[in-house]
Amino acid sequence: MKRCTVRVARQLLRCVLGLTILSSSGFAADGSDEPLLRRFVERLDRSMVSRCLTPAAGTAMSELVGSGALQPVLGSYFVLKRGNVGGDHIEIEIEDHTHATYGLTLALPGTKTGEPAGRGARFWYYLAPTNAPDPRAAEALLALAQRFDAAIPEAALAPCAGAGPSREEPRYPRALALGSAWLGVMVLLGTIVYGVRALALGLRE
Amino acid sequence: MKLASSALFVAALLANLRLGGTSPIVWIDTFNDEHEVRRCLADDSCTLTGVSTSVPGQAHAVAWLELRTLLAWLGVGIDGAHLTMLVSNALAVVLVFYLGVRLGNVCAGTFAAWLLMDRLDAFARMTALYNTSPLLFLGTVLLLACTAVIVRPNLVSVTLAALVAALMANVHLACAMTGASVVWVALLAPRRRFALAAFGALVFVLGTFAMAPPTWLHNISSLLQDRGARGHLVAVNVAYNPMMNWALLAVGAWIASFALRTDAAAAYRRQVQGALAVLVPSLAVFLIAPRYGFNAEAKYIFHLKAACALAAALPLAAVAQRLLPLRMQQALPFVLAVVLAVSGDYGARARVTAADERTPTVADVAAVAHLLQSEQQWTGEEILRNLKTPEGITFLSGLRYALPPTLHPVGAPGHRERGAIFLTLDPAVLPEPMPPSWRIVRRTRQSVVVLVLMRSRIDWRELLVCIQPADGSPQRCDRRSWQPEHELFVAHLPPGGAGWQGKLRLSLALHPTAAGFVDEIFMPRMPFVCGGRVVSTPAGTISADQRHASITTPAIDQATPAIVTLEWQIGAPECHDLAYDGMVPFFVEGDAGTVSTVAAVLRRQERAP
Repeated sequence: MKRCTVRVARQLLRCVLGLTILSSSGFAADGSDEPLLRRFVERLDRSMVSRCLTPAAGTAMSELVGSGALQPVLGSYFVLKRGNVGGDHIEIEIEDHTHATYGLTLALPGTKTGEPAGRGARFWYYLAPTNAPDPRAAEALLALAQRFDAAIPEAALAPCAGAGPSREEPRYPRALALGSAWLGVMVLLGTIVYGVRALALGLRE
Repeated sequence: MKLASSALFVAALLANLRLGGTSPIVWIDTFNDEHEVRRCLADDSCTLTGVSTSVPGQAHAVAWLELRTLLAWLGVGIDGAHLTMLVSNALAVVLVFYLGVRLGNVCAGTFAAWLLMDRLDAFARMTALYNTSPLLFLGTVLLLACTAVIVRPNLVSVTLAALVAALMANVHLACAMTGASVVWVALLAPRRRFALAAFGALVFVLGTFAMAPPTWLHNISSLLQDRGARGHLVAVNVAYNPMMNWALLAVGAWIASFALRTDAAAAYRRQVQGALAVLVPSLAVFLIAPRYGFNAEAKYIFHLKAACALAAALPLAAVAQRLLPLRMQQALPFVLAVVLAVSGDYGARARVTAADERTPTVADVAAVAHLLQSEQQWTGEEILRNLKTPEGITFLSGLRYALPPTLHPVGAPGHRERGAIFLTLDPAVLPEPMPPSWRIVRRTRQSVVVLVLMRSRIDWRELLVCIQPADGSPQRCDRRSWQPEHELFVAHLPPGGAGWQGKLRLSLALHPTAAGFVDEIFMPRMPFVCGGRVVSTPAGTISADQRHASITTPAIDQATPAIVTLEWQIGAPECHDLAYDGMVPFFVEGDAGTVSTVAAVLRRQERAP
């Protein structure tokens, strides 16, 4: 029994060390000097807590547009018509020379239903269902999305904490909530029974 | 002891019912929680992030929402959940009495039970149902668990104490320090103290995190990000609360006991260990928190009340045991039971009880909805749109939950000229005799809740909203449709509670009506109601103070819609920040006979001391 406990403890320690090394190597890659704990929590947080775009995302997009770096993607056939940053997604729209418009949404993973047309570092790309079937437009939109995705810094994403948890937070099934509540009730009842008995017997002893 | 415990349970339950009432008040937290509960049960979509706390960026209450969901799943509604809280509070009294008797004597049990019930209203709004409500009971269970660890220090007792603490931390963020209490009592074990303490800490951390991983990741991440921003917060004073004196007595007696080198003093120190372990860590944080700008309200130490009561009762009982004859000591719990049962709020020294409460209850809202639907044949949409009350957004939120979803027909209910207002009035200002259009919903010694039915001409489906900020920005006007069954707030109204200052002007169309009909508008001045003025009406007169207007209808003119324009100066003395909640401020509009009576009543209430 004792040997088994020691073995489990060793394995746990290995896991923790491994996780720490893995995390720190990942952090070192971008040369950041932010505290390890903070970055680790942020990584976990990103996977479980909904995040929102801050005004910095809009600034980064404006700078990219202003730099002219999108022109090779748009060519002479398309113009960038619109770019809206809101909550957990960005909508972009381009227009061709016939004034037909084509839209794409860059949404943070897990915030939009449906199969994405592409996946980037921070966003998943969804072509607007109303788009006319033009492969050149789709290609241009996806290329634009990749540019914007790359241009928006991690700092432009923050937990939706200003007014509390986001409306788009991850949700869980009813069975989990009810099971957890039953467990809580059992813990309370068990504690009362155990506590009353412990006091009755323990003080007598 | 069983008889005394039973007597105390019944008495405490009666006292709690007087304090809390049988139905909770309409309270925005209650409806936010209810929204989550319904979403979880109906849509199979539950939160593990919880709801916002008053500490910016922090979330909590997942365990509370889960417990509410469980109750709802078992068929227990808002009223039932409220009663469950009151019953659990009564059970807490019995548990504290038991602890006091076991650790000390009958006097200790009785004093602890009384101190637990003492001034409950100063710690929590007993008439409301929110995640502070269960803290008295949970704090008592934690006290029992920690005392059990001291009596029987083993893995089982430490695990249970740590899990109760974890549950509490997920009910209210203020209970996050309960983990320190578990470590404290584990460290008092005669053997393997460090192993037990480490185990307790591990179970607490894992248990707390496992119950709501997104909550804690969100909170930790938010704390790390906001660390720099906390610097600008200004230290605030600790607000006085009635627990302080008793906590001072408890800690003082414990320190003094070291000076008394007697067996009794040593025994007392052993007895009080569990209570101090629960009390001291959280109380210390509570006392330090204001230095960092956090508002230390008494509700944040509600869960410490049981520990404080027991810790203060033990030294008091030691004195009483010497002074009182044995028979009198045996009678003490029954005396307390009689005092609590008969005098209720006085026995608990409560200053605010359910009878003093002027906020309507959930049962009031349900009664009004039922009356308007079944007796007056109103649709759900009409109720949300045409029933007006000074209670604003909270009442409207309650109505949305009181109305069954099937009674929410979407679409125009027709141009029926009917309106109603819901008021809580002083009994002394009620008109005599009561007009037939006035219905009493509930009556207490302090207030009467009435529903007044009337003919009303305002068409609430569309409004012209003009706002002019006080900072000199130009006026902006927008025509807005309002569908309260979808969105309670009218779009483009200035946000409530955000310190917005400026002028709000609304132009409302009146339904056409028969010639000769006279309707009136009255702009009341009430606490927490944004007071406004009448700017213009299509025909008729406006009083000199612009608070009363009479609108005459000379002839039916379908071509030009009649418009009334009303104005509120948000931020002015008659409409301070707390009075404006982002809704259209309350005013009375309807047939001249009814509005005149309502205006007279409200003016009498304005003059009342």
